[in-house]
Amino acid sequence: MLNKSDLANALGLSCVEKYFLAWLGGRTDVTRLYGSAFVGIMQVLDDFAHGALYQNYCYLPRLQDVAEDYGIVEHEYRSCDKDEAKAIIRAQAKNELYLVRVNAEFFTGFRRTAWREDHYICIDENLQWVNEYPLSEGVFTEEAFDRGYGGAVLLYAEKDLAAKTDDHATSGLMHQDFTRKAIPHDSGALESAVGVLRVTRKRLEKFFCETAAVEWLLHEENVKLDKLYFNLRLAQTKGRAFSDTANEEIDALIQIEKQIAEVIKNEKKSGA
Amino acid sequence: MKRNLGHEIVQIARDAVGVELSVNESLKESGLDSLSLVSVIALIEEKYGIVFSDDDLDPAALTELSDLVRITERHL
Repeated sequence: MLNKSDLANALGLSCVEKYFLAWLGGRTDVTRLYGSAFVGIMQVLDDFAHGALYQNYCYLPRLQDVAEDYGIVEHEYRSCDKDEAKAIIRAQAKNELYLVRVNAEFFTGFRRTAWREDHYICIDENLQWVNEYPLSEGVFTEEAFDRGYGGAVLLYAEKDLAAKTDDHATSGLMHQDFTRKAIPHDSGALESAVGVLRVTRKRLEKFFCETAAVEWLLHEENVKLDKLYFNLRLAQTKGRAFSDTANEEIDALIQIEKQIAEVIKNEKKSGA
Repeated sequence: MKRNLGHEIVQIARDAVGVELSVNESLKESGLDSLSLVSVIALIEEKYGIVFSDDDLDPAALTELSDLVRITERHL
């Protein structure tokens, strides 16, 4: 069963992706998946300047779908009533991941609610659950489960953990198009864009852990992304505009990604 | 009575975002993500009438309850 610590450190963009990465990470090296999907920095900024939302950002495929495409896992989604759901959950195999969709009733008592209407929690055969957001854990009584159940069970099972994956990150970083596109001017949209970049670049830092120069640059970028994300929210909380330094911060991030592209190109030339 | 800043900050986090901070867990593992951390920081400033500096608010250095206590104590 997953625990809060597993989820706190999972590099997912959605709740299902976080549960999935935390679960699969206990079975195989998930960092190879981090290089199998790539989105350029200018693309992210442009998407959020044109109305993309963090909670359903679709340019980047979800890693559970990528893993299934490679044959690493398979999934099943079952819409069913609460009694059938409990029967399915109680019969779960030890090496499978069981997620249950929850409704608004589940969030009663929490100060925060999920980012999306279709939110899932992870649950075991004893109705012990862990929730990715707000990060929490507990054990359902039968009645509590019945009240909070949202109508569907989603399960993942291993298929072929040794299945090969592709590296799209190296070519993605090397051939990034840095042509200036739109940058979000709204602090909330910029925060969301930076939120996506934080997750994707942290993944890339782990993916490139054996390429010291690239890893170091990604680490530098991630420090800046964390600081920018924090400051954007702080400015919004205090009712302040953040436009003064935002463009400089974005330019600094773009410069780092240009440096990364050069490092990768040079290493390719030298045969490294 | 000696003030217990740690307990007071735990109460702020509980009231503001429903997170139960603990010395045994990191802020993140307690459920305080980056965005809710900002909410707690803003409330700490408001409660104690202080303003944190940029140096105080480095997210990489705010990972434990003790870090929040440390930066608050500086201003009291």
